[in-house]
Amino acid sequence: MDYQNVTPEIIEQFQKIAPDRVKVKDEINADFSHDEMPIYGKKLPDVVIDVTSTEEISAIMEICNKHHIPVTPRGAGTGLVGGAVPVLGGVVLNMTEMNQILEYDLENLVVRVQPGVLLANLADDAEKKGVMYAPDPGERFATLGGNVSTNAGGMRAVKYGTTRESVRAMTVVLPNGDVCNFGSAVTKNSSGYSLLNLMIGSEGTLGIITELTLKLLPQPKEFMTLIVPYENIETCISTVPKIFMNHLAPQSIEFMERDIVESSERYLGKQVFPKNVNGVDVNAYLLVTFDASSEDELDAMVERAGEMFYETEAIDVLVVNEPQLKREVREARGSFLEAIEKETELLDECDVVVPINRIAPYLTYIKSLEEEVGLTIKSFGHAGDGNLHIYTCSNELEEEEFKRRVDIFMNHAYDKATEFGGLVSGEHGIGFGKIDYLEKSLGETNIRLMKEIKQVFDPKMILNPGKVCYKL
Amino acid sequence: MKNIWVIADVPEHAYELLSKVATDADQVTAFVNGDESVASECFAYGAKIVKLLPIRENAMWELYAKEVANEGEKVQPELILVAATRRGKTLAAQVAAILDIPCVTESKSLNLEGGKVVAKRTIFGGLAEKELEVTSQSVVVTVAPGIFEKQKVDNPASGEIITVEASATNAVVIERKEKEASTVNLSQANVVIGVGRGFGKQENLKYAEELASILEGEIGCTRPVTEDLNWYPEERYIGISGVVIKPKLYLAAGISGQIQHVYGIRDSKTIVAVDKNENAPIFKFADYYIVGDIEEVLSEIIHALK
Amino acid sequence: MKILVCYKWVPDEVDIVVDHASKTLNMDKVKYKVSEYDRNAIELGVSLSERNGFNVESLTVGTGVKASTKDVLARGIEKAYYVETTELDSSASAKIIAEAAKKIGGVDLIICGEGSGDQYSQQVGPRVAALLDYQLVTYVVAFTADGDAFTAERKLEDGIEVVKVQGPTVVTVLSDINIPRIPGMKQILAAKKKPSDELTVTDLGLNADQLAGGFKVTHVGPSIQDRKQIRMNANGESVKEAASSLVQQLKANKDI
Repeated sequence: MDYQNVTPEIIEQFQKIAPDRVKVKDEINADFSHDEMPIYGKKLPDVVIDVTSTEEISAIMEICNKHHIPVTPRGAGTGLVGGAVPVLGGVVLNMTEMNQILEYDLENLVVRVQPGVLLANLADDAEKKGVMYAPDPGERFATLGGNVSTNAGGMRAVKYGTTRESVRAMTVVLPNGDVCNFGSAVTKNSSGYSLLNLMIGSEGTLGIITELTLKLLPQPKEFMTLIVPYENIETCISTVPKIFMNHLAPQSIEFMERDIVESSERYLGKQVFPKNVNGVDVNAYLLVTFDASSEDELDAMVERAGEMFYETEAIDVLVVNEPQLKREVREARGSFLEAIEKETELLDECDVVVPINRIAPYLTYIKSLEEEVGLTIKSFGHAGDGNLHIYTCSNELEEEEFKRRVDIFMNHAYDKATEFGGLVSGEHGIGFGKIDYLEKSLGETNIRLMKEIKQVFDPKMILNPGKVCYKL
Repeated sequence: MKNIWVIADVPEHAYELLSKVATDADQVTAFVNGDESVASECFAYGAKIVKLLPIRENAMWELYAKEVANEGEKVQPELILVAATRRGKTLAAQVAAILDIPCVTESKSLNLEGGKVVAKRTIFGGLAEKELEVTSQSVVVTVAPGIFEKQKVDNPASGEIITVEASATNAVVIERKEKEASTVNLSQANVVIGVGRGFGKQENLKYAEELASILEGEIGCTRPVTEDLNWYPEERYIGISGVVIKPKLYLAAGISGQIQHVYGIRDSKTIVAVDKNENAPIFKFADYYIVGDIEEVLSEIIHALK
Repeated sequence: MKILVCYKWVPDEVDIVVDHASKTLNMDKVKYKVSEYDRNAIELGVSLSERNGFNVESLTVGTGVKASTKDVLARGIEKAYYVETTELDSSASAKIIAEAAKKIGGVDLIICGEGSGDQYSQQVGPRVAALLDYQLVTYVVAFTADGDAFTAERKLEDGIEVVKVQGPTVVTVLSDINIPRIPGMKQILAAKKKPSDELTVTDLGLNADQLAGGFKVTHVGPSIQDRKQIRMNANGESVKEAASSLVQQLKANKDI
C-alpha cells in the first residue's frame, strides 16, 4: 500500500481547520513516538493535531483520505501494545483536548462524554453525583476513548463486565470523513448488526470515536475485601468457581502469588498481606471484594462468603474492614506492576485470558517455561475472569537476546492459552506488538473476516495502519 | 514570671531551651543530664541554678520525675520546659500528672509575652495545627530540639550545683546498647537534599550525594528509605517521628510528599521538589519544582551548578 | 495475670477535608478507626495472652466509642470496657483510665500505643503510670513476660535500653514491635458474642472540675503552607533549561 507524505500544502489546510493546533517536526513532543511499551517500536508522526470537535476531525479525515495519508488517533498514550504508535508516520490526532463531560442523564443512568476525558476524572465526578461508572482498568489516567478502543476490563469486570457492557452509543468519524452514530441510550437493541460493538475494541482501525454515551450505575454504598490465604496456587484457584456456584457476586476476584507480594513489600517498604497465617506459610492469595447498597446486606454476603471459604482449603479468611487497611490493601495491589518495573531492567508482558478452571494448570505451565527459556516470570491477575498478567523480566540479558527469548516464551504461552480455549488478550488489545500471535491463535478464517471488515470501513487503509489484523 | 525550669537529658538541648527563656523569669533553673562542665555551660546560657540529673547505670533517666515533681510542689514554677526527646517526653508527662497540671507536647512555637504561655502544636499527623493558651498556674511544655537558637547571656550566674538523687524502683536497666554516635547534624545544615523512594535504584544515590557535596549540604531521607530500603541510617530520616529541619534550601528528590514527611521540612526557607509524577503532592509544598526523571534532573542541576 | 490495653478511637485523617479558602477543617465525612499505634498495643496484649495465658481486656475513652468495641473484640480482646465522654485532653483521659483500671481491678499490665493518631501527645501512658503508681516503660520495641516480671526493650534516640520490671506496669509501644494481624472472619463472628461493658465518669467518681484542662484552645486550623509552587518546566522547557533557570533563581534568592 502506497502512502503519501504530508506536504506543506496539506499542513496549510490542517492549519485552516485547526488554527495553532497543528504541530510539526520539533514542535512534536517525543512522547508521541511511543506508548508505555516502547519495546514495541518508536516512530514520531509527521504532524500532531490537537483536535477539538467532530467537525474538525471529519474535515481532517477527508483530506487524509483524499491524499492517502496514514492517521493514528491517540488518547493518553497509556497503551501496552503499541496501538497508538504511528508506525508509518503521518498524522496523529491527539484526542486529549476533547476532555469534557458533556451531560449526565440520571433518569436513564447515562452520561455523555468526549473521548479524551480521563477515566479517573469521570470516575471521581460520577462518584460526586452518587453514581458509578463501573469499568475500572488499572490505569486511571487513560482516556475513555482509549478504554473503549481496547475494550479495557479491570478488576470489577467480574461483576460489572468490561467496558463493552458500559457503552450505549457513540459518534464516529469514518476514514472518509463521514460522521455516523452507532447504538442508542436505550438498554435493549435487536436492530441489525451491532456496529457499536464492532467499534468497541477496534483499536482505532475502523473509525474515530468522537463522543460516547456511557452507562452508569447507582453507587454501591459499602465495600469490604477479604484476603484469603492458601498454601499453594492450585487450591487457591480451585476455589474460584465455587464462589459463583454459591451465588456470591463479588465485584472483583484477584489472585497473587507470594513472590509478587514480596516484590511489592520491597517496593512499598511495608507488609500488608501476611506471609504466615496461623503458623502456616502462605504461597497464594485470593483478594475478593464485595460491594452492596447497605451494611447489613454486605455483612450477610461477606459472612456467607466466609463460610464458603472456610470449607475450602483456605488457611483463614481475613477481613479488611478498617479504613486504613483498606487503603493499604488497595495500594499494595495497585503497586504490583510498578514494583516489578523497579526491580527489572528489561520487561515484556502478556495479558492472556483462559477459562477460570484452567488458570492453575496454565500457571504451572508458565512457571515451567521459566527455566526452559531463561527468563524470570512473574504473574498476577483477575482470577474471576481468567485474565492473567504475565511479566517476563531480565536484569542480565542484552536487549536483542531478551527479545529473542521473549518471542520463544510468547509463542509457547499463547499456544498453550489457545489450546486451553483461551485468547491472546483479555484487556490490553493487539495493537502492533501482538499481531503475529493473534493471527496464529485465531486462524485464517477469523483473520480474513477481520480484514474484510477493515476493508469495508477503511478501503484506503489510512486509519492506524499496521495494527490488529492488518499487517504491513 | 518568677520561676522557669528547663529539663533535658541531652545538654545541647538544655542550652537551646535556656537561651529561649533566660530573660523571661527571675529564676531560671536547669535540670540536666551531665557533669560540672555541663553545669557551667548552663550558667553561660542563662541558668541561675543548675541541678544535675546524671543517667545512672541501672536506672531509667525518667525516674527522676518523682524528685522533680516533689521539688515542683514546693517551688511551683510557672513554666517547666522539657526537651522533647523520648526520655524527656516521658518525664514531662509524669511530672505533669503528679502535679496535676497540663502538658503541651512538642510545641512548635512558644510565646511568653505578658506572662502568658501560648503554644502551638501540630495535630492529625501534620495536617492541622492548634494554638493553646494556658490558664493554669503551672504548665509543662516540651519542645523538639532545634526550634530555638543557642545564645549565651552577658553576665552569667555562678550558682550552686546540686546533684539530684533518684529514689529506688523495681525497674532496672539491665543493658544499654548504644547507637553509634551520629556524625550528621541535619537540623543545622544550610542545604539538605531529601531522598525518597522515587530514586528507584541505590546506585542513583550518587546524584544526590554529588549535589549535596557541591552545595555543602547534608543528605536526608524519608522513612521508607531508612527503615525498609536501609539506604541511609535512621538519623537521616526527616519527618514527624524523625528529624525536623529548617535549612535555607531543601531539595526533595523522588519524594511523593506524604504529610508525615512534610511535617519535618515545612520550616525550610526555600523548598525545591523533583519528581517524575506530575501529580505528586510534594509540589504543593514546593517553591520551585521540576517534573522529570530524577537521574536526568539531578545531573542537569549538577551540570548547571558547575 | 490481667492485661488492660488502652486504645483511642480517632478520626481517620484521610477523611478530613481542608478548606484552603476559609482555612477550616471539615470533619463531616470523617470515619473513625482504632488509632494506628494502639493496634500494635492490642496485638502485643493478644499475643501475650496466647503465649502466656494472660487475660486481655481493653479500655477506651471518648465520643462514640461504643462503636469501637466490635473492632477490638475481633482482634482478640476478651472483654471491652468503654467510657463515653466529650472530647478530652490527655490529662483527663489518663485520670479516667486510671480510675477505670482500679474499678476493673487486678490489672497487672497496662499497654498503650506511644501516642494517638490525632493528637499524638504521648502522655496518657506515662500519666496513667504516675496516677496509679505503676512502673513505666515507654517506647517499647520488644517485650516478654516471665512470671510476674517483664523484660522490655525501649528504643531511644541514642540506642536501646533493656529494662526488667517487677510488679504492676504500664508500657507504651512503638509500631516496630509487631505487625497487627488482620482479623479473621471467625474472630469477627466470635466477637459478636464477647462482652463489652460501659463505665461512666460518675461511676468512676470523677467530676467536671477534675477533668478540666488548664488551657483553652484558641485556634484549630489546617497547617497551610504558602509556597510559590512554580513549575520550572511548565511550558515544555527541556530538563536542561529548567535545571539552569532553577539554579539561577536559587542564586538570586541567595539560597545557595
